[in-house]
Amino acid sequence: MSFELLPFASGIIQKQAVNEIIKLNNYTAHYGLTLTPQQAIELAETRTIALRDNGRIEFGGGVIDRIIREFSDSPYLSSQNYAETLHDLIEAFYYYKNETMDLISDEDMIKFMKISFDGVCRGSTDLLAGKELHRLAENLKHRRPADYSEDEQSIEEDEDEQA
Amino acid sequence: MSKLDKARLIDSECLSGEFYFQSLIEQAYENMLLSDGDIERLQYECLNLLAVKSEQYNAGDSSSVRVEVAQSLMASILFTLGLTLKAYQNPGDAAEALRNGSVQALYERGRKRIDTLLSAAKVIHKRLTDRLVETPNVFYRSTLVNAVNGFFKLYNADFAAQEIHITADYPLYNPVPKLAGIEFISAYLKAAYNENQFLACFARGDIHHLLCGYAENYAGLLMNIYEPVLISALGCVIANADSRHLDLTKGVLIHLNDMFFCMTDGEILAALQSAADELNRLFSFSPELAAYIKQSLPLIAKNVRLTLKLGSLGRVFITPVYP
Repeated sequence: MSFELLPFASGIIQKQAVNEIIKLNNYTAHYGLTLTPQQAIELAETRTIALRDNGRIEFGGGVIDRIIREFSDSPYLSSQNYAETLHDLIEAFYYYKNETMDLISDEDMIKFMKISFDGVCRGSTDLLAGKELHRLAENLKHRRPADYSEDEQSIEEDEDEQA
Repeated sequence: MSKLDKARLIDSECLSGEFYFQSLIEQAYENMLLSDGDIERLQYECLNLLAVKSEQYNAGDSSSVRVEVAQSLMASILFTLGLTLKAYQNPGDAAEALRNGSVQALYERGRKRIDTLLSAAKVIHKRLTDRLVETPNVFYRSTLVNAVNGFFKLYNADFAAQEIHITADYPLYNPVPKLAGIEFISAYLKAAYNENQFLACFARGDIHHLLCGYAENYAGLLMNIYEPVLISALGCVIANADSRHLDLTKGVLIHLNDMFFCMTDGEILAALQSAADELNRLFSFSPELAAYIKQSLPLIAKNVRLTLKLGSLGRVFITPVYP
């Protein structure tokens, strides 16, 4: 018998997460978005895999809860793509949590994801993960403002030169 | 089963000083003092505590932590729980406390114990640095003053109570038990304090000349200073030479060689013990220092026996050199 806590932890944490995801249906139903118990289990599994792949551990419902609340009013979410989008958002979140070296809080990162998803990405999780979150990570690594864009910067410089 | 029987079930020798909580759980489970249900409850409560600690660690900014951070936080929690459990009179009582008490309550007691140990260690360190023997040996001051100060600056009892942070390069003569965190530093400092107290009984110049006899470049050597000084003082007492000035001449060395050569291992140890008692009368050691010196004697006796066989007793009993 050995007192191993972390393997024991993942089972309990996953069970807690599923319960919390299902409870959120009460909140998201208002936007026409709900998840079946099976979809909730699959989301919790995606989180477990994303955490494992990115070498992280989380307690309670964690960020799934926050992501669901933040994104539920997005015009790009419907009952057809709700669960699939949540899987993508969860995977992207944990990947970029490491890539941003924990320099940004969960809340700020989820807000950034929502603004980008509804804005320049127009509901594309590929654009969000492949471009916007990558840009965020680079900006934080180089101590630049989170919304700094080299493209916009070069346009501004061209305008300055012309003036 | 009576309380006494339960206490006897767990052999203290099987418990780790460094990982006390984990070893106690394993022993208690093997001896059926804890059931599967108890273990599951303890795991669940430890996990809840880890969740709280992770949140505190992230200052509420992030709900997840890297696995290495979680492992370190858990090690800190288990170390702190171990401190509480070590305070019980015997491991059986500690196992009983695990079965009946909450992890949170045990943790809080351990956390208070860390604060007490930390305060006591700072007092010992202050006393040590105030009376630190002046020596050209660079490792003596750099470890006992600078490195230990570094430990106090870095030590974080809330999130990394098990960490030592420093390498504690200066080697002490009596082995420091395998411990972690503040427990290790406390034990290290107590031993260093005793050794320094002993060295403070002698003049700086006398110690310097003796150490030059050991190695002229001793200033840059990672060596223990207490050992040659203690052995020299004991040798002087045994040979009726001037122990206050560590005046162990070549003549004294020949005399010691002749004396020890006829002795059994037990007689050598007895002679060293008697000389240590004489030093105690001469310098009025504190009870802690007297006990520390007594603990050093078996190893000294072993080295005396070994070097006698090799005809090199002069490597243990150093003759001073005046460069």
